[in-house]
Amino acid sequence: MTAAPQSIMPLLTQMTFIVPELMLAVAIVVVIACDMFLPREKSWQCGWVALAGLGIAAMDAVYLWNVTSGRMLGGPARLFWGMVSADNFAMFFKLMFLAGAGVTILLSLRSAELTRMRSGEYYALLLTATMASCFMASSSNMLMLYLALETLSLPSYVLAGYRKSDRQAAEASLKYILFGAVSSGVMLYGLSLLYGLAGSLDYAAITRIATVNYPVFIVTMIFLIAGFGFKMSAAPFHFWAPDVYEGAPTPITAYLSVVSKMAGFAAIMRLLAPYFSMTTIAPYFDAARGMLGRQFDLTSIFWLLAVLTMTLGNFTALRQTNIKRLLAYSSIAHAGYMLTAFVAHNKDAFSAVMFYLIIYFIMNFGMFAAVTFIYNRTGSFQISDWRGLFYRSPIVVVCMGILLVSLIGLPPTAGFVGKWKLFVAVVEEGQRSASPWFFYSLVLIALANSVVSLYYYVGIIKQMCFYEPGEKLANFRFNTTQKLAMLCFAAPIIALQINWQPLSRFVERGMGAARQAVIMIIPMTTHQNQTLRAAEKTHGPQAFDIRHTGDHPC
Amino acid sequence: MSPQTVIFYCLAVIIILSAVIATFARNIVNAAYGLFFTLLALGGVYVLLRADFLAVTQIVIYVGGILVLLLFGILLTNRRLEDLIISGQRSSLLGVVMGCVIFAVLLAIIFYARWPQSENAQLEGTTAPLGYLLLQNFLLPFEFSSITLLAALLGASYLVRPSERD
Amino acid sequence: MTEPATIIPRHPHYFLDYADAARAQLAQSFRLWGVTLWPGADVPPALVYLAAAVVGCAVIIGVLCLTVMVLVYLERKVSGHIQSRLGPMYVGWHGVLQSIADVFKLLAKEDLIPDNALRFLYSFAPALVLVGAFAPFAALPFAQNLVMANMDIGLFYIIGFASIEVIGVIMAGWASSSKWSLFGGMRLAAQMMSYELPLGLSVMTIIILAGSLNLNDIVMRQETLPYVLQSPFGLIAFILYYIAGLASAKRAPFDLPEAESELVSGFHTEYSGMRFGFFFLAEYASMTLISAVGSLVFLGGWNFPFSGDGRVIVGLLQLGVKTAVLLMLMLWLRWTLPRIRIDQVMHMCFKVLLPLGMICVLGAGIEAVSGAHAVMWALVLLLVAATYIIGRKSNSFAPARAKGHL
Repeated sequence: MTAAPQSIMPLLTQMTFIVPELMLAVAIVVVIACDMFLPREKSWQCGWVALAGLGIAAMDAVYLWNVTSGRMLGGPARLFWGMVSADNFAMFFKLMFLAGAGVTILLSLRSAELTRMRSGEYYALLLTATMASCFMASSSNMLMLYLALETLSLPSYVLAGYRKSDRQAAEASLKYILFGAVSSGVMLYGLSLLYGLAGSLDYAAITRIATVNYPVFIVTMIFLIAGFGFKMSAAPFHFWAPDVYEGAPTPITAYLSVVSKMAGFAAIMRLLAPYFSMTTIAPYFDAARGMLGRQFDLTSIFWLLAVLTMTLGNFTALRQTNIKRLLAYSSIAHAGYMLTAFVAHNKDAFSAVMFYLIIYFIMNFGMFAAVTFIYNRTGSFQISDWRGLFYRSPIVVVCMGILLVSLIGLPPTAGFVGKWKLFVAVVEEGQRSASPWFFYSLVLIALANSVVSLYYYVGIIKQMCFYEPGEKLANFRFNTTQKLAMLCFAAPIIALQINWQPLSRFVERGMGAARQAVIMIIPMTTHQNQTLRAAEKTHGPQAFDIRHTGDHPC
Repeated sequence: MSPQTVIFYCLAVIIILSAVIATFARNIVNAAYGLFFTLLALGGVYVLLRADFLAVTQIVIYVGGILVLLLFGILLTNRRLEDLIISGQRSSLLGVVMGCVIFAVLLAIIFYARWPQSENAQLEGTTAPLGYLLLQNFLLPFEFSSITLLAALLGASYLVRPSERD
Repeated sequence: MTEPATIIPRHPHYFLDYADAARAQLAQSFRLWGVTLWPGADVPPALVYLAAAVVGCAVIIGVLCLTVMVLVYLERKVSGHIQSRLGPMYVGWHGVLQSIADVFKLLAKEDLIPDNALRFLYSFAPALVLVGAFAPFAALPFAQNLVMANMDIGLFYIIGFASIEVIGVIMAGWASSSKWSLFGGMRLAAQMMSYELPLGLSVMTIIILAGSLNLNDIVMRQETLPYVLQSPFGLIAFILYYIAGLASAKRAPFDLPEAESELVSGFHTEYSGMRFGFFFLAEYASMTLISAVGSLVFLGGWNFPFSGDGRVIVGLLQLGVKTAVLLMLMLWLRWTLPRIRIDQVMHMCFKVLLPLGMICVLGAGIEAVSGAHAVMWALVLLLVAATYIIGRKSNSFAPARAKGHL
């Protein structure tokens, strides 16, 4: 048998790059342990434990953000024998997921849907899902990706049906499981084909297949997109979304609509990054593509997916009366907008998606926070019960108005900037392309869709402002915390319209741009960074790839 | 024809026939037993591929674990013996068309693709290499799967616990 | 020109080696007599292997059937004497031929299939149970090198194939369309599924200590001391293994699947004739298997106390004696202990055996890495003594409450 592996980087040093995830694992166990010792009435306190765990993990993620700064997406710095990448792209999404989980926990602590329930499992499952999302963003191996996807899905199924006595929650959970099982099965089939073709589960293998077996690669990708599309709630795989969003507790709805979706986007972006950045093998690639012509191109698939997703989302949203269902369709539509970037498939487009995801994060969490706060007092998710909310709490309604305008994508809100960046990336790709109308038409359809979405978002504003308050809002008022929370969501939306440069820079660094500002470097940081660089210098860019180190055990 | 080939085709026939039974049986228990033969014969295919550890794992997990759970679930839920669980008629036309299309596409893939062939697959005993792989190359997924299982366990135990009444 | 290096297979298949020798012999003698089976060809190796496999299987099945007959006679005799009766006395001297009479009775009986039964599954189930009970013997080394298939994964294979028996029993319970059978099948499924975990963990302890899944290797490592004496965790694991084995073999006090006083006779209520005989055979075969594997894995098998230098007869005798002792213990337990309730069965499995099994695996891991057997013995003995003293003081070993019946 082989001798002990001569690691290029010691395993412990490698582990320092996944400390956020390890912290979450510790937090999961601590939450479960706390739950054992707390009576049911006090088990909500587990939420604070979970929040503390998230905080520590986030601190470490910020720290690692500086360590991994300057590594390109799709770059070679991979840990654990090529299982996960340590780059700023991963850290970017890890930060977003941790923040998202934090907001979800805060909302859960304030939600009337979850009071008087035993909530140790709730927070433990939420942390598990977050940990899985972190791995999804950083995995660079199909096996790891699939495992992370499943680990994200399993807690989500349970969380969606967390209110067990509620029939709707049970329906939501069951539907989610069925759709999830089918789509992950289809995805797994695609993975097995990919493995058979490439003999490797590495993301880099995809590029190799694309050059040799192009049509097979396209079919495989369609299978894979089924799995990702389920997480992103893209059009033919979106059927679960409205029912699950409606039946799940509102904080979980927010979590699913933001974190889960972001994880899907992160994974598919990393998966496709090497494919889209192929330059050296372009001649072979074009020859292979020529055999099937333009219509079977991967970009065409994304074109169809994007158009279908946004159109379906927007037009179905028009008829909704339940705010959670409406936001479900709205989130489907937003997935469609973001999918346009995959048609453009260049670096700018991916940056635009990341930029848009941050704004989407703020908008959606803001709206779901409002839904939670209102439900706590009224016990209703009907939009008609929001009538005259303006006369009860003008500040909050103004905040909600800002969020809604941002969801439409109109100035003066950050939503406009996000959409602008997305569509500009597509148009610029069109200008470079031989068939520009392929891209222009997509932008035109997206713009038309935004106009359609105007109708139902403004409808909500109309309900809140132009009617007398109904009887459900008779003694309604928001408390100070809730007002502050809503301000916290609305303020950045305005601020980012005024100056989006900091966020842009953040996203650029997430895409792997080199560090610009002078940053305090703590000794450990230099040590890690030096280990990384030294390993790359001596062993070439594939330093962490087992195949190049010669100690493969077989 | 080598004995391996003969055995392979026997197994293939068993797999296909039992899979057809599992798909089209209207009595859910018969479908489960169809699945049993599919899974068992698949274990045989693994043996032919010289993956003996995988073959036994297949038996332990699918036959001993999943299938028994499946049957146990059926037996627990189907309280009345008089009427067996019968699945409803499927809307067959769409299914047939979709199935044929997907089958055609997959067939095309199988014949079109240039499948790489591994040359030194003559492993004598797969247990030790598997162990090394699990604790080296696949260390992270291996450890991470424990979190997956923990989540599944936690979720399942939450869902089956009797509802709390206020 | 150099001599080609001798190829020593790393995982030799012993019976097939014999087969190879036989083939060479056959080819040789055919050539001597000037006979060729067909022009220009030897005896095809596949055919010889097939013949070897069939002969091996036949021998194992024959020996097993004999063992079962003896066991059935012994069971009746032991039960008789424990209950101050004589047991079978009429057929032969002290009834020794009773089992043969039973076999003829079973063969002669009518094979009934109930009207409501699902015919195919009903008639197929006994065969499946029998396969599940007999297949593991293929990997069981009866003495050094006396094994049908010396697999790399022998122990895993043996544990794994037990699950086929579960499927067969559930099939029988379901296909009979009788409530007694159904309940029996359900209980068995629950019981065997649960007890596979401690069984697996206890065996895992030894696998970690031995560093191999191959039964031959495991036995070879017990030349000086069997694992029950080598390591404290081996001892604990052996006790776990035996209890879990009792449950997997549906023996009293875990014989709920066929509890006569409640379920007539459980999953095989509707069966008669030789089909019933198959279940009978399978039950005793799995008892034998549990005992044999237990004595191989934990008690040193054919290699302790006399290593015998590979002499088959010494090994066979040693293994036989150990297996017989374990089997007698099973009989003794059956006629001594009352049957326990299903909730007690589950409590025992998940709250007692499973944690203990995990402790064993953990301890064995530490022991395998550190090699500190004596320290481990001291630690475990201390812990047990402390637990005993504390337990006596606090009186915390109260019986479990009944929570519901299956």
